[in-house]
Amino acid sequence: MLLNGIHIENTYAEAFDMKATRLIVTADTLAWARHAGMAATGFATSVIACGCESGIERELAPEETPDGRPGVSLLFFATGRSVLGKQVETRLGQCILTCPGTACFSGVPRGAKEDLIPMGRKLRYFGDGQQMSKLVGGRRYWRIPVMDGEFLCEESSWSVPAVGGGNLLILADARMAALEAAEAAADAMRAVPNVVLPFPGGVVRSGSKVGAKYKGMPASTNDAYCPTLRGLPRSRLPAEVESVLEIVIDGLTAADVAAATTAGLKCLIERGRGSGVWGVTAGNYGGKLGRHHFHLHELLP
Amino acid sequence: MSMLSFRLKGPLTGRVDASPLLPHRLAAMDLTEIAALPLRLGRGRIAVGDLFDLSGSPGDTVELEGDERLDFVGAGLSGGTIRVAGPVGHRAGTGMSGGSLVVEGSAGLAAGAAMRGGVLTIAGDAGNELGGALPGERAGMTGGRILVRGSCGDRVGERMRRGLIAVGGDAGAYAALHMNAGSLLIGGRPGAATGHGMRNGTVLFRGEIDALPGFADCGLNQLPFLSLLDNHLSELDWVPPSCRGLTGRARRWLGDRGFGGRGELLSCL
Repeated sequence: MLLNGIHIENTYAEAFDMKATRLIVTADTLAWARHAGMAATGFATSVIACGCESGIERELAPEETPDGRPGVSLLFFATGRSVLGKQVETRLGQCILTCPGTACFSGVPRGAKEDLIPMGRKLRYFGDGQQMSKLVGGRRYWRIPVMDGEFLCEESSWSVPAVGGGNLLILADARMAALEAAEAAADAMRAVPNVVLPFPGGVVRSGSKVGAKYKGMPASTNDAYCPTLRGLPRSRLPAEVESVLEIVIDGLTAADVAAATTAGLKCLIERGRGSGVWGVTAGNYGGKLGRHHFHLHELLP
Repeated sequence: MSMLSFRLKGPLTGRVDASPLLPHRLAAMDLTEIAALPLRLGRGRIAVGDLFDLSGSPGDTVELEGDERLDFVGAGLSGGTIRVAGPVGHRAGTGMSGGSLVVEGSAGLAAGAAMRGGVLTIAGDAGNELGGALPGERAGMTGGRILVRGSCGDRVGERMRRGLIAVGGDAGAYAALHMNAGSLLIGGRPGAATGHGMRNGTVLFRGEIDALPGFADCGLNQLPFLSLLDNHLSELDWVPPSCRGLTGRARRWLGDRGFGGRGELLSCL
């Protein structure tokens, strides 16, 4: 299919069931909330080696946060509830507790006991007996004395079902054209609520396939989309494509991932062939690994 | 929503135990059955119908004409609403676990003692032992919310373990006596010996206090949970205005260290 000069391949992105949670981090200024958010969601691009995938969902105005200060909302995705709990615990303790002036709250509705993600429940022991708990409006918070005052942290959050691994591959004439298109598309996709783009700037250049010729490598470079190999028979790239970038999407529901995919497609199609983008495709593993399939032709704007 | 009203036929000749007049107990009865219900009056008994004029239909709301000799109003309330036009006697809302008791006048002794849940609202003043403990009990209030527009007597929040008490006016002596946890807000001035024997929990008030020697003065602090609490209070009805507007800045005393406690007295700015 050719839209505004851009090839939209008739394929689908394959995504997986995950567990997710949302944390609200507030601080005295938005800049400090962002510092905490950046650190807590750092080194969280792929569950392959990071344990979780996460990102800053959006920035929050003071009137949107529980304590009336500016903040950020963070989404964390992992393969299961217990690994998600571990990741949240360590990131909360090392990146949010440590950041000046922050407070941290759960950003999801109260869930079932088996979905519990401990926050202050574990972190309170840092208070060495001087911590205090407060039950406000039916939710428990911990107040942990720290050197700049008090760290306020909700007792727990809850995991919710989520979808991870939605993606778009942008095929462009040149590296800079691919980069500019990916930047624009990532900006458009980030505006969709309930999703994060976990890779640096939302963009991946090293898309992977499952398996490798070497033992012990679970994944290796997606050689079918590497332009330097486009003369090989297995290449999926036409001669004019010189650079490919991927945008990976994690969302709380399949509908959120679909909405982000549509937003990305809309942005790329509106920019048109003149922007140097040759086409858009998506990554899948034959449909056998992930339950969720996002067909590009069904998600066109 | 159906409402059942009780109007007093005349002045009470003694103290009356009004604890049977709970919405959920009356909901399944008709008016003649309710009128035949015995109430304790002094050392004897009297039928509801001899004491009150009944109107309306039983449901989730009971409206009661108040009197200072009407004791145990809403004691054991677990759901529904009791609205009292006028004052109530002693032990209003004792041991209540849910629902809402609204007293449009003042309350006597031990209002909301041993409360476990629900909301008790008092438009006037409350007597001693507001939200306190029943005699001999180790824990006082363990949940729910008490909101008093006026002042309260001595020993408010005694042995409190959870929940919120907000008093718009002044509090008497020994507020938060042996408090275990929970929050006590005093919009006016706290009385003598506030926090004696406190183990945990928070007492908030305005202005200066001559804290007991068991309390360590930790100076001025910025406490983010105060803004959270203030936000929460803004969502509730009937919170005394003097308990609102917490800036988050407070002078903090930690104690009562004579009892190994680490509760806090917060003088809020």
